[in-house]
Amino acid sequence: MTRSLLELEELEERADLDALADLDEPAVTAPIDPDEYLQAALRWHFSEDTGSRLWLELAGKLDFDPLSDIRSYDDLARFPDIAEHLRDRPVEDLIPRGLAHEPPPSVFETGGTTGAPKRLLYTDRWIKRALRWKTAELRAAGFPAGAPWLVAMPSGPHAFGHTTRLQAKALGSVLHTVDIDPRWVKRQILSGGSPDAYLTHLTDQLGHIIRTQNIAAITITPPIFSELLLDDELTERLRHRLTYLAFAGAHLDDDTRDVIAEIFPDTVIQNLYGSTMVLTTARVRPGTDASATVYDGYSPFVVFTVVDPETRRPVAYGERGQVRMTHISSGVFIPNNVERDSVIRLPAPEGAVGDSLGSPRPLAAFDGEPVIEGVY
Amino acid sequence: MTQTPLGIAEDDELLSLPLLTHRGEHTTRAREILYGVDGRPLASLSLAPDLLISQTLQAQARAEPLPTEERAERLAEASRRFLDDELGGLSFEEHLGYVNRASGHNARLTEELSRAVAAAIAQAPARADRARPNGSVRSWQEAADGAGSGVWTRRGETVAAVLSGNAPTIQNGWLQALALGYRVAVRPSRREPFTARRVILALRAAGFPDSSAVYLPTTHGGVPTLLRRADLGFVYGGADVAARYGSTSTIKVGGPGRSKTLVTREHLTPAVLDAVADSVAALSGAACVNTTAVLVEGDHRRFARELADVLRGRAGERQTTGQHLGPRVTRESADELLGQLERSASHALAEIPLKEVATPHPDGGVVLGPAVFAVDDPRDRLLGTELPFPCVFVAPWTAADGVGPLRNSLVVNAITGDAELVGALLRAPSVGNVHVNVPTVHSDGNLPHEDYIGDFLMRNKAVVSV
Repeated sequence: MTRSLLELEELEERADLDALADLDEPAVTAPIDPDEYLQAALRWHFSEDTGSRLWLELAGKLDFDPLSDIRSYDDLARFPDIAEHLRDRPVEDLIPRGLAHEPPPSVFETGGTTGAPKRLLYTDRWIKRALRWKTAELRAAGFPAGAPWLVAMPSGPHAFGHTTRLQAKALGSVLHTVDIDPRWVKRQILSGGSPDAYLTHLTDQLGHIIRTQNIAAITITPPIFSELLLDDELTERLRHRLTYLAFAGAHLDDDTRDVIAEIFPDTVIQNLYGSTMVLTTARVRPGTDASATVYDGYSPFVVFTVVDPETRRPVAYGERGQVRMTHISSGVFIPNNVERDSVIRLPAPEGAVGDSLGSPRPLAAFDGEPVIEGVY
Repeated sequence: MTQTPLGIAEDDELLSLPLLTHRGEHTTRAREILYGVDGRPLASLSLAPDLLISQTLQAQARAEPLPTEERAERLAEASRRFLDDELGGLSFEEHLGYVNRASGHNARLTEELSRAVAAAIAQAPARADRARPNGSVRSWQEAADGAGSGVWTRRGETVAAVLSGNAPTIQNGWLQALALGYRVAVRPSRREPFTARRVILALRAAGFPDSSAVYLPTTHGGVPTLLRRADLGFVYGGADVAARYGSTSTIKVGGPGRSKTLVTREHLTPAVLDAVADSVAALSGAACVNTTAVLVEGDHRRFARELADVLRGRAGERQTTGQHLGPRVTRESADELLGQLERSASHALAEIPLKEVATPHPDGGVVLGPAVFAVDDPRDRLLGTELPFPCVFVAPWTAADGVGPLRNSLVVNAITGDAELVGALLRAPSVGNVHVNVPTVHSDGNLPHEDYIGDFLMRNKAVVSV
C-alpha cells in the first residue's frame, strides 16, 4: 500500500515521541525510508489537489517528469533554483493546496544579502517538528534547561528570534532578547559607514540584561559577543554563570573560538550553522571536537550535498565544496538551493541521506571577494 | 606536511612567525604561507583574529608607558640588539636573507636599509622631538616654572601602524610614536613582515614590556578593527588607502609619492643626469621618494635619451647578480606591472624597449627596470604614474607652465637657480617637500617626510602654576 506524505510525517512524529519518552535522546535519523519519503513528497507537491500553485506551474516547464524521472536525492539537482519566485510571488502561490484548510503558515524572510529577501512558509506542522528536533539537540548538548537564556538574534521578519522563543518555552527557560536588524547593519557598511554606533546600541542593551539577570545561556553572533568581552564587569559576571554559548549568524573562526574558550573553559560552546532556506539549523553532531564540529542534516527533511562550484558534481569526502541544500516537507519543497558557503564534505550518519558538513565559511571569502558580515 | 585551516600544505621546516601580543607569542590556526620573489615558500605567518586584536589594544591602553628617559635608553639598546642579537632564531645576516628574498631589494640595499632601521630605533626620541614647537616643553614641571608654557602632550595612548612592504624603513613612524610613550600595535606588511618582527623582538629583548609594541599580522579584514581600537593610526598604501582614510583626523596616511624633478635650461649637465638617475633608481625605484617624472626646460627628448643611456649603463651586467639595479619581483608581478605599463604608456616614446625592462634572475624571479619614456605634453597623465621599480616619464617644461605640472608630488627636486619658482613650489599645497638641487631620494631621517610625525602624534596644552 502506498503511504501519503502526511501519513509518513505522522508516523515519524509518533516514533520520535516514543523515542524521546524512552531515552530522552533525539533520534539521529527519522525512522522512515528516505526513498519512500521522497516519492511521497513528489506525489504531494506535484499533484493537482495537494501541490502549490508555484510548483504545479513550474512542473509544466520542466524538461523532465518529477513523478517518474526523479528516483533519488541526487536527481533533485535537476530542479531549477526557485529563489526568484520566493522573492516575488504572493505567498498564496507557495502554500500547498493539501494544507489549504490548516492554520495559515508563518512567513519568515532571509537576510537579503544576495538581493531582495526570499520568503519561506513555516507551517505549524514544521514548526512543531523542528522544535522537537532542536530542543532535543539542545538538551543533549548540555543546555541548562530551566535557567535564563539570552538570545541576541534577529526577530522581525527573520525566523531565528521566533523559533528560539518557542524553544525557550519548551525547555522551561525564561527568555531575554535583544533584537538585531542585520539588513540595517549591512546597509550601513555598504554605504561606507561604520557599524560602531549600532554595535554600541546592542551592547548597551545586552549589558543591562547581563548585569541584572542570572544569564546561564546565550545565543549571539561572534562580533557582538566579542564586543561584550571587552567589558570586564560583564565578562566576569558571565564567567560565573554561563554554561551554554551558541554562535550563529556570522562566521566564527577557530582562533576566535580558542580565545573565547580560554575565557569560558567550562562552557559548552556551539557554532550553529543553518539557513532560512531549509527552515532550520543543522544539527551539531554530539561528541565532535569544537574545532572540528560536524553538522548533520535532518534526513530526510533537510539534506545537504557538497558539490564543486564549477561542475556542480559532488566533491570527494574530506574536500571543500559548495553546499547545496534541500528541504522536503508537506509545507515546503526546496529541492535545489545552492548556498554561498564553502564546506568540507563528510559522511552522513548511518541511515541518513546526503552529506554531513565540516568547517563552513562564506564562499566569497574563500574566493577573495569581500563579504559583508557586519555584526550578523 | 600538515594541513593548515586555510587548506595550504605547510612545510614543517618553514620559519614560523607567531603573533607577539601583550601576553607574549601566540601561534594561530589561521596562517598564511609567504613566498619569496623566487616563488619559493619563505615563512608561515600567524594571522590575528579580531577579538585578539581588540583584547591586545585594550591591554595596551591600560598599560603605563616606561618613563621618558628609560624609553630612550632601551631604544638605544634595542638598536644594538637589532644588529647583534639572535632574535626569533635569526642572526642579523640570516634576517637580511629573508628580507632580501621577500622584498626583492638587492643584497647591498637590503643591508643598508636594515641598518637604517637600527639607526631609526636609536634616534627615534631625537627625531620625534624635532617636531616640538618653540613654545612647548617636554614636561609640565618645566612649564610650571615661571609664566607657564605649552606642554607637548600625547593625543592618545595607543597607535596602530598598518605598514606597507616597500622598504624596511617604514618602521620610522611608529618608532617615534613609541619614543613619545605611545603603545603601538604593528600590523606588518604580509609581503615583508620580517623587519617589523625583528624590531619588536629587539625592543622586548631590550626591556620594553610586551604591552609597549605588539606584532599583529592580519588579513585586510583585520585592518578596520585595528584602526578602530587604537587612538591613532598610521596607514600606508596607494591612492585607494588615501581616499579611504585621508579625511580621518586620527589617521595619518602615507599615500603615493609621485615625486618629480624639474631641470631648467642652464642645468642640463652630465652631473645633473647622474643625480636624476640616482633619484630614479635608488631604493630599487620602489619608494615614494623616487622620481617618477622629470620636467625638462629644453630638449626633453634628448634628456630622456641620455638618461636612458646612464641608467642602462648602471644596470649593465648587474641585473643577473646579487646587486641588480631594480627590484626582483615574482614572474606574476612582473607580467602584471609590465602589462599595465604597456597599456597606459602606448602613446609615449619608450627610450628603452619594454622587452629590455624585465630581466629573468638566475635565482628566480625577474628584475625590473630601468624604464624611460618621453612624452610631449607637461600635462600628460602619465606624469602621475608611480610603479614600484625604476620607471620615469620625461616631459618638456617652460617657465610659462609654472608649478602646474609639478603639483601632487610628495617631493619636488627643483634643479634651478630660479628663487621665485622655489617659493612658488613651497606655497603649492599639493607639493609635500621641496629639494633645491638635491635628489628626491635624499633623506637623513631628520627631515619631515609627510610633515613631522610628532605634529600628528602630539598637541600642546598650556600649563601654568602659581
